Amino acid sequence: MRTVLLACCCLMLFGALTSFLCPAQAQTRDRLGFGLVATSAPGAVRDRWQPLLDDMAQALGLTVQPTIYDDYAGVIWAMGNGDIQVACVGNKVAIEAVDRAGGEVAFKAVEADGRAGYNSLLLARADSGLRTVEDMFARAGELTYGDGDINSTSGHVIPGHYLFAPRGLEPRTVFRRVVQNNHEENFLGVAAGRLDVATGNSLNLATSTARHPQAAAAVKVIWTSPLIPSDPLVWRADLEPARKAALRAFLLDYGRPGPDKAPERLNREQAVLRGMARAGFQACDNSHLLPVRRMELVRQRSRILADAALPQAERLRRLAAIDKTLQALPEAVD
Amino acid sequence: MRSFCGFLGQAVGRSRQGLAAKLLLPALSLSLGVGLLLFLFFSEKFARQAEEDLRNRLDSFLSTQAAELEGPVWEFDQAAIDRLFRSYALMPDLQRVRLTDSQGATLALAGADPSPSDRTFAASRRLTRQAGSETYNLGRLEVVFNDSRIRQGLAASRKAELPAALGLAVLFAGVLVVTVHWHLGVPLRRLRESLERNAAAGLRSPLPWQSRDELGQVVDAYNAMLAEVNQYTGSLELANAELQAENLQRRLAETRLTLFKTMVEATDTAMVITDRELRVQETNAACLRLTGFAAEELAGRPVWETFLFPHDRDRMAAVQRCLEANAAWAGEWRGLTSQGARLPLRVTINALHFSGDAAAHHVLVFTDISEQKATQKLLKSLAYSDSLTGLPNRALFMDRLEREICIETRRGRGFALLFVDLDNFKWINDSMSHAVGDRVLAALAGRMRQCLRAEDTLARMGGDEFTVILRETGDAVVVERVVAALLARMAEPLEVDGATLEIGASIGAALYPNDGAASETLMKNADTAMYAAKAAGGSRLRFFEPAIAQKAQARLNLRNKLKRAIARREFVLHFQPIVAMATGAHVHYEALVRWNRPKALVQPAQFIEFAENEGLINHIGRQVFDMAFAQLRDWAGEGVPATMAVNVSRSQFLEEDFVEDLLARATRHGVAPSRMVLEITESLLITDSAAAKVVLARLIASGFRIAVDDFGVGYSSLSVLVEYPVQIVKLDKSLIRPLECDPRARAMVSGFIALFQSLGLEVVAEGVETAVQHEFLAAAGCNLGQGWLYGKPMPATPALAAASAMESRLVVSRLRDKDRPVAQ
Repeated sequence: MRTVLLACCCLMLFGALTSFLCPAQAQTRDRLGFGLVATSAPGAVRDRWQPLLDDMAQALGLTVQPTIYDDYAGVIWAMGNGDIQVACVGNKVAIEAVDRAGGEVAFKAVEADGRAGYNSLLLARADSGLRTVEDMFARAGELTYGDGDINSTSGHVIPGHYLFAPRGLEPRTVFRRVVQNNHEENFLGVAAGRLDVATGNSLNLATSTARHPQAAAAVKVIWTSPLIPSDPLVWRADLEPARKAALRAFLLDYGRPGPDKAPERLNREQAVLRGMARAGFQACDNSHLLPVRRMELVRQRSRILADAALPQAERLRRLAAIDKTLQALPEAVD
Repeated sequence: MRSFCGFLGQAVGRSRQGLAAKLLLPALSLSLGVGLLLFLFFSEKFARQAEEDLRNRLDSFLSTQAAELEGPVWEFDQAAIDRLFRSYALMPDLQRVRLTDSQGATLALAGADPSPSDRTFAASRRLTRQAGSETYNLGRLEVVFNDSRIRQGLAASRKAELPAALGLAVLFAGVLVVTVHWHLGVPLRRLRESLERNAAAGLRSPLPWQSRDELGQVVDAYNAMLAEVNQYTGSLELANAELQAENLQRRLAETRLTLFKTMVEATDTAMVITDRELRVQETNAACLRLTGFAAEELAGRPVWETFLFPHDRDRMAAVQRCLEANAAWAGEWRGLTSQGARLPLRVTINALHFSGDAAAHHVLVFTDISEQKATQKLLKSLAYSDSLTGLPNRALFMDRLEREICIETRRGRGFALLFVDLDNFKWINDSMSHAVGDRVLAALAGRMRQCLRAEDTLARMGGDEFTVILRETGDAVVVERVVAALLARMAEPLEVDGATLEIGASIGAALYPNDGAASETLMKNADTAMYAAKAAGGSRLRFFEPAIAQKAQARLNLRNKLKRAIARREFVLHFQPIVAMATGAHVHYEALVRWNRPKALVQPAQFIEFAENEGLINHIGRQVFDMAFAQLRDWAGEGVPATMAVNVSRSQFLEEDFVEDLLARATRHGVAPSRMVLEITESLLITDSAAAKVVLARLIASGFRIAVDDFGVGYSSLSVLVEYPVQIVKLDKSLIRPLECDPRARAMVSGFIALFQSLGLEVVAEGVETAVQHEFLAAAGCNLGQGWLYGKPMPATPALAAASAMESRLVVSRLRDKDRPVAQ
C-alpha cells in the first residue's frame, strides 16, 4: 500500500516535471498557437479570424489555438516563449519578432483592394477645424494626442517617421497630453471628442467604419502616409518543416481557385478573407521588413540626435551603431 | 567656569580626606563611563538603523524600478529604459544598477563598480509579465547600494554629538559637584567650624540649622549636647564669678584701706585716735608734725597731758560731758607743742562706733588755726583803715567822731573837726599818673600824722579828702596854730618820680559844739568851710560861718535853676556881627548864649563858669549848637550867606563823642560844617595838647573852621598857632583897648597882625569900640573886626536888620577919614 502510494506520488511528480520542462513539444505536436493583436476589440478580431483558423485546423489536421494579445509586445514575447508558432502582425512587430523571438516572415497579406500595402492615418474630428498636419502642430500645445502602441507600425512608427522625426519632435513633448490606445479606441476617442487627434490606418478605419458608421461620420482624415508594406505573417523559424510546408500550402491556396477546389469552398474562403478585408496571402521572407526596418532606424537616429539629455559619447556610440546597421541593410527587393 | 574648575581642583586636591571628593570621584567616573557607553551604544544603534533604512530603500527602489521598467522592457522600449537609467544617476546611495534580459544580456547599466572600501548592499529582482495565460520572464534588475553616504552622515553627526555628549557629562558632573558641595560640603564645614568654635571655653552657641535631613538630626543632637554642656559650665562659671567678685571686693576694700591710710598720713589735718578716756592710741604724720611730739611720746598718754593745754578744768569737764552726751565735740582749744609753744587749734572729737557697740574710741581731728586768727585780725583792721595810707577810714572816723561827741557832751571841753582837701590833686592825678597820686597821698598823710598828737584822729575819707579830730581843742586860736603848722608841713616841696611838687590844701574847720551838735552837721559844716577856703584860692583855713553856709546854699540854688533851665531849654542865642574891615559887610556872627530867665536876660559871665565847674556846660553846649544850626538853616532859607562862630568850652571839646555828636547835629539840621567856626581858647590847646590835636584834626577834616579865641590873655603862644591847623585868630579885647593911648600896644598888635597874616591866618580884632581903634586896625591890615562899634549882640532878626545900617555908618566914617590922616 505504502509502496503504491509512493509510486503514485513519484508518478505525479514525474508528470508534473515533464509537463513543466517540455511544454512546447507537448503542445506543438498537435496544436498550432496563432497570435493576433487586438487592433480593435478582441472579440471582433477573433470573429474575423476564427473562420480562417478553423479552416486551417481542418486542413492541417491539428488544433489551431488563437491567442489575441492586447499589445503587440505580447505577440513577440509569446512567440519568443514558444507559446505561439504563427502570428499575423504589423511590420514593426515583425521586426521585433524576427530580431528577438526567432520569428521569420513567411507570408504577407494581400489587401482587399489589391494593393501591396496600406496607409497610416491621422484622424481628427470633422468639426475640430484641424484640416492639415500643419494645423495640428500649430495648435499642438492644446491638443490631446491618441498615439498607438509603440510597436504598432501604422499607429506609432510611421507617423513618427514621417511627421515627428523630420521635425525633431516627440509627441510626448509637443502635445498637451498623449495617450496610447489601439486603433479602434483611438478612432472612437476622436469620434467621441476625448481625443483631438489620433493615429490610425486605412485597414482599421475601414473595419471601424463598418462597425461604427455613426462615429465614422464625425471623424475625418487629416493626413495619410505613403504606402506601408502589408502586414506580414510570421512563424517561428524553428517550426517543423512539414508543418511549415503544410501551412504554406494552406495559406497560399486559401481563397484561390484551384483545380480540385469546389466553388462553394472557394466562395466560402473568399468570404472569410473579405471579412478580414484581405484578398489572400502571398509568400515572402524577412526582406519584406527592410523598408520599415530602415524607417525605424532613421527614426531612432533622429530621436538620438534630438535627445538632449544623452551624453555626447553615448550618443555618438549609438549613432555609429545605427549607422552601421543601416549600412548593413540590403536594398529592399521591391 | 573658572571658579567651578577651582572648586573641582579643590575637591580633587582634598581627595585624600574629603568626603565630597570620595563621593564625587566614583560618581563622576561612573557618569563619564556610562555617558561614553551610552554614546557608543546609540551611535552603533543609529548606524544599524541607517543600514536598515538603506536596505529598505534598496528594496523599495528595486520594487518601484522593477515595476517602472517592466513596461519598457516588455515593449522593447530601449529609449524609455535609457531614460529611466539616466534618472538613476541622481539616486543617492546608488552604486550600480543593471538590467539584463532573460538570456542574461545587459540591456542597461548605470553607476560604476563599487570601490573595495565601500560596503555594498545588493538586491535583484526578476521582471515578469503576464500575457494571455503565460507569465514571461522579461529579465532581471540588479541594484547595488553603497553606504558611503550614510557613513559620512553618521560621522558628521558623531562629530556634532560627541562634544554635546561630553558637554552633558561635564554639566552633569558640575551639577553633581555643586550639589554635593552645597548639601554636604558646606553643612559639614559649618558643623566643623561650630565644633571648633565651641571647643574653646566660653558660652557655646548652638548651630542654627534648617534642613531636617540626617545632617539636621546630627546637628539637633549636637545642639542638645551643647545645651547640656552649657548648663553644667554655666553653674560652674556662676560659682567662679561669685568667687571672683568676692575676691575683687576684698581687693577693693584693701585698696581703699590703703588709700584711706595714705590719705590720713598725707593730709595736713592732724588726726588722733584715742580710747574712751582720750588716751592716745594712733596718730598721723600731720599730728606729729604739728605738735612736734614723736609717736612714742604720745602713745598711751592722755591728750590733756600732751598737746592740749589743760588750762581750764571746767571746760575740760564740759568737753567730757558733751562727748558722753553727744558722742561729739567741736571747738577751739589752745594747743601745746613739744617745745612748749602754744598754738590755737580747731578741735573736733567724735566717738567711734563699730557696728552698734558702745563707743570704745574717739577720733580727734585738729588743725592749726593761728593763720586764720591772724587773718581775722587783719580783716578787722582793714575794715576800719584806709589801705593806701593806713589811716582810719570813714567808718572808723565816724565811729570815733560819735564817741568823741559822746565824751565831750559829758565833759564839755569841745573839740575841732577839720576837713582837708588837697588843691589841684585832680590835676596831678590826670597829668602825671594815679601811682604818683597815690604816693603823694601817702606822703602827705604821713606829714599830717607827724603834725598831730597821737590822741588826735586823722582819717582819709576818700579821694584827696582827709578829716581830723583835734581832741579837747575848742579854741579857734589853737586850731589856727595847729592848722598853720599843718599847712606849712604839707606845702614843703615833695619829690615824686623825679618831679618836685608843691601841694597846698584847703582846710575847713567846725568846732564842737558851736558849729553843730550832731556828727552829720559838723561834717557838713566843715565841708562847707573847706569849700569856702578852696573858693578863696586854697592853701588856707576857713572856719565855718553861717554866711558861708548861705553862699553854699545859693550855689546849690543856682545849680538847681540851671538844671531846670537846661530841661526847659531857657537859653537863647544872641548874635554879634563880625565885619570885614575893608567893606564893613557882615561876614560872621558870633553866637553868644543868654539865659532867658523869667525876669531878666542873664549874661553868660554869670552862669557859664559856674556851669563849667558844676559839669553842666556840656548840656548847655549841645543846646547852643542845636540853636546855632537851626539859625544857620533859617538863614540859608532866607538867602543870608553869613557864617557863624560858636564858643566851645574845654570840657565840651574833650568830651568823648564830641565830633560825632556835632556832625550828627549838623546833618540833622542840614547845615554844611563849613558854615560854622568853632572858637576854642588857647589854654585848651596848651593844657590838653595831645587830645586836642586829635579832635582838631577830625573837626577840620569834617569841614569845620577853627578860631583861637581870646589870643593875648594867656600864654599868647605863637607855636600853638603854627603847630595846630587853625584858620582864624581872635585878638582879645585886652589887646585892643589900649590901642588909643599905648604906642607899645599898637606896635604889638600891628606886629601880631602882620605875623598872623604871613602865616595865612585870618585875624579878628575883638572888642573894637571906637573909630580910632577901627582905623588903626584897618590900617594895620586886620581882616575882620568885632565889637560894639559894629554891633552889640542881639537876637537874630534885629542883628540882620542892623547890618545895613552898620554899613552906612562905616561909609560915614570913611568919608571923615578923607579929612584926617590916619592915626599913628
